[in-house]
Amino acid sequence: MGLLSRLSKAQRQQIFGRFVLSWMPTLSYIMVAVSFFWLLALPHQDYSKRTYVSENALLPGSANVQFNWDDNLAAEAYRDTVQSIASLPSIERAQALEKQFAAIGLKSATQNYTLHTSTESLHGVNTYAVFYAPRSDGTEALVLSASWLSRDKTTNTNAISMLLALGKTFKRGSHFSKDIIFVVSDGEAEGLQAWLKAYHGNEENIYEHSEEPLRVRSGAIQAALNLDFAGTGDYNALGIFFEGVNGQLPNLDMINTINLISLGIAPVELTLHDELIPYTDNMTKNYLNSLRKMLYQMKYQAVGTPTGNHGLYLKYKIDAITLYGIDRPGWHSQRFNLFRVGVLLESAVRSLNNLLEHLHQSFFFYLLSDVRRYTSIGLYMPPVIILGVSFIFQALSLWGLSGDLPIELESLAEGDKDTPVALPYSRRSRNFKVASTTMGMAIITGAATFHLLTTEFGLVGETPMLKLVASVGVCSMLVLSAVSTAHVRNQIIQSVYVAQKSLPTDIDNKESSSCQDSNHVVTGQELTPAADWIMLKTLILALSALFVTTLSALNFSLAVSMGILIVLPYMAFRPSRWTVVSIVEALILLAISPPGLMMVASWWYAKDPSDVLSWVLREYEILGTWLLPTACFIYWPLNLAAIIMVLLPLS
Amino acid sequence: MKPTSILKYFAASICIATTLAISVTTNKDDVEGFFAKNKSKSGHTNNWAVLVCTSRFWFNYRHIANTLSMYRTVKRLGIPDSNIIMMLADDVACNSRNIFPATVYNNRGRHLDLYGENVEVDYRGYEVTVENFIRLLTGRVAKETPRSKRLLTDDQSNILIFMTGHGGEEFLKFQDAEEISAHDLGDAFQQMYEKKRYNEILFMIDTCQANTMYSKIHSPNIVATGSSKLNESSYSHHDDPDIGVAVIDRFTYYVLEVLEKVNMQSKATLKDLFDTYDYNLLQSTPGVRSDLFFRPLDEVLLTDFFGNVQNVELTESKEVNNSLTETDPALIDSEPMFIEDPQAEIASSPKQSASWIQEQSHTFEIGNPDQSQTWRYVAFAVLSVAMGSALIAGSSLV
Repeated sequence: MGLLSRLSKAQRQQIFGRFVLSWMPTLSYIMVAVSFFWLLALPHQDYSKRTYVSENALLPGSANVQFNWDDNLAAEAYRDTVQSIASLPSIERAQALEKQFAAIGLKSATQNYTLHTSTESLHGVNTYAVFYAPRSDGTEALVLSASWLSRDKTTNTNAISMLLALGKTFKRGSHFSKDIIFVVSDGEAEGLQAWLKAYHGNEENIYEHSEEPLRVRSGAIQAALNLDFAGTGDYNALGIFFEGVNGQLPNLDMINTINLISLGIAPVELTLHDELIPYTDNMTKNYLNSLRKMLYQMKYQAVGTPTGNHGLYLKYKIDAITLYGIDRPGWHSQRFNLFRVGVLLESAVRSLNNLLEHLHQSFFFYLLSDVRRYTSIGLYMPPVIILGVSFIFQALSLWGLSGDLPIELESLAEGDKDTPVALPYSRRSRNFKVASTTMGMAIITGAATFHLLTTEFGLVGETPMLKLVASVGVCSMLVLSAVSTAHVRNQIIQSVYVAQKSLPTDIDNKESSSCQDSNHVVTGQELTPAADWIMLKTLILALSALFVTTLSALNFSLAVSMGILIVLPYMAFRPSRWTVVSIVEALILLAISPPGLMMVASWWYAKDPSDVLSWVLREYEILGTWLLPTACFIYWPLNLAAIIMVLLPLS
Repeated sequence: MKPTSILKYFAASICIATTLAISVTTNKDDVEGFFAKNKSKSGHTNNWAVLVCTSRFWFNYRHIANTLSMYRTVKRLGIPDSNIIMMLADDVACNSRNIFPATVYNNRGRHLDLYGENVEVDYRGYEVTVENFIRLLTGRVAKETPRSKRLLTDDQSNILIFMTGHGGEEFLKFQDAEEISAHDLGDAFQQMYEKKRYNEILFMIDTCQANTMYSKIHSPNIVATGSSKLNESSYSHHDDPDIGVAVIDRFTYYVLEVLEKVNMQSKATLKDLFDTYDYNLLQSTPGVRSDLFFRPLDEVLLTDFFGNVQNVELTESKEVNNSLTETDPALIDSEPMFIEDPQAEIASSPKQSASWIQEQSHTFEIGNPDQSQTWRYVAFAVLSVAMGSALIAGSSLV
């Protein structure tokens, strides 16, 4: 009886365990739904709070500014100067600007740089000047920068003339605790990148990047404002761009400071990015507007590309934002000219000058649904963690069921009585060879693709697109070979198993059905091992959970977009009895594979796929975004393994 | 009977007689009144001030201005630098962010530079710590500590303790590094009491939730006042847009507004000061704690704490002056004279300062003027005769 009662207890546990395991998949789908709804709720007003200045030292807008009408006139005069030199070659205009800064009395210099990527080499000249604070020790500095090229692809005339005018204003003051560096960078992002690299003495990749060392230097940069005021006209509103490389964000106090100043001492209309959205009382419209703003931020964060040159500072732990003058004729707000911009900038610099240490009081992780509303990390992290947990639940239930059941999941579902029932504690052997080999091969393929794309071989007619096509070819070869060998192997195992099983099946059946007095235990060796696809799927789900949750801490938007994209296909897809279904699943997985997504992106933005690819490459090589490595080392291998998984034989 | 015992009795009798004689001839107040406390006299002989600013950093400009304003006030009212212990981060005047280098102002008008002349900071910068503060109060300073960093008080000392900074419920932050709790403070005061280091203390604190800071004081003769009650913030009064920071706190501002009208001969009392507290002006609920204080507040002069008006021994000749009955003209004067030069004020009214001297001579005279001196001599003679006869009678009995 002792044995019996023990058995029944164990059986009860098994029943309970099976109940839990069978509910887990359902639970994980519920969790996915919760996570999706949570994410959609984030832009809603009730889930965001008003921003506030957290750092006491900033005191935004509390001091009078010295920027006066004369400075405004000076700025307008500089505007003509800048316009006249704008069309000169890089080196000449940089030197002309250097002279202008020197004329104000600032120490100025130029910097040559050449940047080699795998496809091109970029050359340019930066100009920079330093205002040394007369009464400080020169250990800290602030940066005001502008690029020659605005984000509108026109000359950044107003911004550069503003730098000159501010230089002149600051030269009069003695109340600075930090030096102020003015940087006018060449090119798009690479100019400022070269300058920052040289400033921080970063010598890595000396062969690929060559930037002239800086002759004029100052202290550690505490914060930076990047100006983007295209053209020579007035503006309707001020846009703030804040997304940096790889989704890094500046401290929220940077935005809050500008916010307070724009409400007080320099009244301008402030918005996020370059979108002006009319005020509305309509809740639905408000929600949609917030959603749009949030998606804009998340898009740039996920791709890892900065929305302006400010994003480069963030890599060096310098808080920075870009201020962009929005010129939208016909917009209702009052237009403002350089004078207002000058007051705003001087006030912002005065605030940052008050800082005693790096900005640290306010948030570094936030989603903005409006320039004055934020959603904190405590509120937006749970959905992505829930998403990760749902992966884990799915993987656990698969793992449990694959070991516990001697019979195939299918037959359990169909109530097939002919298959043997296992005694408690019996385990089916789990064979990880196929799964781990497949996953390993997929990761190696991804890594190979990455190196193929980023290495210049010097072959004739070598383009990134060609390389990508080659790696897609390699991938499809991998899938084909893996799937075909699995099918062949499966047939061999099946035939051997059938030959072994033909005799003892009946005895097994009898003994199992009347198991009260039987000492015979069905051992693992006699059962079919768990199917390879179950093992592979378990592995894929576990790795997905790992990557999504880990990435969420590094780059929330990337993790969320990856999670949303893969959660349902990876959880729901499995080899089907009908080949057509498996093939459809494989095609959907192919659509969400990196090349597939690239095609979608090129269609969406109406660009050539090769342009999209070279853009991704450029972002990686110049700015060091994670998009390409993540896609090659994490996303694509998982995707490849998933494609192989749905094509594997069922048993 | 032995001659020695007779001598003993004789000596004892002489003693008793003398004591009795003295007790009759001079009443108790005459002897002790010079130092002792009574309803209207604090009985102190020296004044000290401990002024503590527990904040540092540029944006806490106002706390340093608060403290320097108090420093200026107590100095104006006569407490010398040797009796003022000032603890100050002192990182504002010469801060590179200060658009007016080497100045500290407490008003947007910038008429008065608090940092202008002869400011003696005793504990500067990182020396402003809880440990140093408590050591200072309790006198447990290291041997090599200079006199300027010691609170050399005794049981005749009246001490003004003014603190300002950032605080919370029963604590006050010291320079973003540490904090002192209300218990620490209460304990320090108790030690001071046990060591007879003070006669009376006025504890004044301007910080958020300031009134909680004096809730744990249990030692006698301490009157305390704070700027705000539990869960209330204390606010700054106004800022100077050129300097770019707030320059003074509300509580200090309005306390100073009263003190600026007080001069050394002022008869203004603590009650007069406390009565000016107004929630609408301070935007917080100021508190006063006087349950440990045994004199009625309307008889405690402000100068007992803020000034250095001391008891002095006087000559025989006394000049009765009617100025005692006059009310203090300065307090009636409602003109805003917030920032004024004390020197100028004194110079402009020499008459007043002369009357002050007379007033002093009157107020602090030994003995009770109502008592007749002749009556004392008569009483003394009668008692001596009585004692002598009693002595003779006693010895003959033996």
